[in-house]
Amino acid sequence: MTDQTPLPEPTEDELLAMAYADGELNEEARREAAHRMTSDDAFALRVAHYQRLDVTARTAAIEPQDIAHAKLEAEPTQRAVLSLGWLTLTLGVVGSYAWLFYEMIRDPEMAIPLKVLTLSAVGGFLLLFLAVLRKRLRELPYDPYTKVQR
Amino acid sequence: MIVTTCDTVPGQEIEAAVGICRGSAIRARHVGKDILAGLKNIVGGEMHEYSKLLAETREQALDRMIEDARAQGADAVVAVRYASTAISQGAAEFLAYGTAVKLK
Repeated sequence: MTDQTPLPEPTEDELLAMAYADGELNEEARREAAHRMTSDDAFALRVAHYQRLDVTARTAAIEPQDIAHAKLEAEPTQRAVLSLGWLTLTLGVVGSYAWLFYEMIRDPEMAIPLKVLTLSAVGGFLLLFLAVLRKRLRELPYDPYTKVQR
Repeated sequence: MIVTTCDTVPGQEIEAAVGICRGSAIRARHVGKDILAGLKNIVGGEMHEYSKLLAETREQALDRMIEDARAQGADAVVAVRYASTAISQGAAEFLAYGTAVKLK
């Protein structure tokens, strides 16, 4: 039997977020909502949620191969093979580079200034990578396009 | 917002052309997806990783174009076109553009 319980009325915030995502606000209200999104994370997430629904609603329908693909992705064997593959690849690549780097730094024939410069280059690269990764992780919840399939 | 590739909006009359509206986006997948897509080159078949990348970029460019039209006070966008180019390896760039119009 179908549940006949009526859905709760949307709150003011939900209505505002829906109107913003659907582009139904006038310019002033839109600007205010956009400004609020910069300081109110919960509101910004709500807007991103409605935008995501909008984006996924107009993308292509599911194809038979999508079902097969999803099934394969969920198979324990496939997951194990992928996980093991990534683990060994990462271990091999990171380990090799770390070892090479360590041997290079330990090399008594290598000039000290060159060691410092090499350490600086590697450290700088890691810091920049960390900054880019941090930015991506911060904006990920507000990116509705990650759910688009085709 | 009506968005169409036609030069007119069927069944409606255009009052005025507001201007060109455009939206572009460039996106990339992470290196893991690039590696898997590279392996697909060996076995063949659809590169889901890149199909998804193109779709994400296309939708984002389209949304930015609509946003631009809305900011110009338009009711519809006609003559919508897509253009694509390659700026960076492994990234997809899309430009969506059209004419923002006001309807009667």
